[in-house]
Amino acid sequence: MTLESAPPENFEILMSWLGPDREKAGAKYEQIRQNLLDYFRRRNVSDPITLTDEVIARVTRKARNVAKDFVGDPSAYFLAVARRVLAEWWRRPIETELSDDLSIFQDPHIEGQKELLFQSLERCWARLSAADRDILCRYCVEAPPMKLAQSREILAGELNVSLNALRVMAHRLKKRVKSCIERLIGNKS
Amino acid sequence: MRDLNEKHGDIRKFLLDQLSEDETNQIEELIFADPEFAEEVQIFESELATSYFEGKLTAEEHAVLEQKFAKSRLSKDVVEYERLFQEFISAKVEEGSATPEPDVPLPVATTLNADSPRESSGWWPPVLQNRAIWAYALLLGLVLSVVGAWYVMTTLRNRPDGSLEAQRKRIESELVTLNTHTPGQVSSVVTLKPAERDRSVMARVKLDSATPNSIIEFRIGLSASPDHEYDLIFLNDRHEQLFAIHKLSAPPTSEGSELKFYVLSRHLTPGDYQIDLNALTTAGTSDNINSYTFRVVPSTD
Repeated sequence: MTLESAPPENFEILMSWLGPDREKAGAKYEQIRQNLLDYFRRRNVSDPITLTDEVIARVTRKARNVAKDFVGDPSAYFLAVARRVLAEWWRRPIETELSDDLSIFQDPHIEGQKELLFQSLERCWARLSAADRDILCRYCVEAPPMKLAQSREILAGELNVSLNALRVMAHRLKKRVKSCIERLIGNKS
Repeated sequence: MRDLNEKHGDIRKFLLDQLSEDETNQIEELIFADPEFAEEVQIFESELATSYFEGKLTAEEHAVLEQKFAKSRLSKDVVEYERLFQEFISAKVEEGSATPEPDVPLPVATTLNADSPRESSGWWPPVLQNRAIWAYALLLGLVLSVVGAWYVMTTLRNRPDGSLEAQRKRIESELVTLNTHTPGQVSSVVTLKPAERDRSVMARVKLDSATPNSIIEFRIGLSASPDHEYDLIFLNDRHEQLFAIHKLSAPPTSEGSELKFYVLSRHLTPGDYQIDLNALTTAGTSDNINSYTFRVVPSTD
């Protein structure tokens, strides 16, 4: 399994296929890439990044032919290619263990690594607004005698949102902090 | 925002490898077709990770996840981040509650020996009749006001503006796309030289407001070997970070290697810019290699 680069114009075709508006196409591309990473990761592939890149490279190479005839959401095509790539990988797994430096939360017990992560977390935490920090604290940490479920209900009431909306809100905030750490440490996968 | 509660059972089984192949395929198709559902699976996965390290799963579920983490480091990343974040935020909350409540002055009577004679009579408690204490209190108040004002000013100055943050994210998302593969037509090419060595000659970029989507190619020649990855941080003339491009590689040339990266003309406005070039190390940190400056001018200039 090798990564062959596609002609640059194919990438333009791919982006047009993903959406007429460049910005939306870029967001769609990122969403598909994340889905591919999650797909391979959840399928217990040791190196999801290489397989994700392989899928994108294959679709980009075929973009010219596929885009004009394909009916429906391009994401489905990416998934179909991902399944093929995974089947090939199961038949002949390539021994590409994900390198240590691509995994920043991997070994927080290594001396110095945890400190670095905490420093980054502190900086990213400071970038959140006071209101967002308050939401996360109250959503994530139990404050006895109140149970966590109770304090979440109260918080949702104060924010005038449903419990589920609060759950999504907290998840997005945590994701923002995670992306920030990845950016700071310089290992965004 | 839909409530996908009814799917939780399936999602849980999906993440714990308890579905048939057909059912798993259906969930995967839904993830690719529906971004909201994909996010729901991510949320559920985070919650499962938290239950894992808090020991709230059954032995069987725990074993399944353990096996997954052993196979994929990125899967282990999910749980390690949750663990780290929980530890961090718990410490934050503890810090907050450990912060002393505003001091309530002890009743004066308890601080004085009931037998000791009062220095003077009057409505004010004796301790507050001491002029030295008043002087210290005034001085302390003054110092606190100055420090407080400085803190507020600094915080306000450093606080990222919501709209700027959103704009930065949008630009960075566009730059990821633009720099993933070599784009098509490039409107101009700018070769940058290190700022320290080439102060007198600042590279110029001409902006044509009529073509906001034209692509500007930047080039930086490097003597280092091409096996590094680089981050580029764009700063304005006030040294505020505007946006960044991450994980770029520099293909080899006869003189070392060359970094090429692309920006849309609408990402820039007339003014002076600095780019900080950082090399990513295998230890997971980044080293600043050099800085480069350029000036953006309107095309009529």
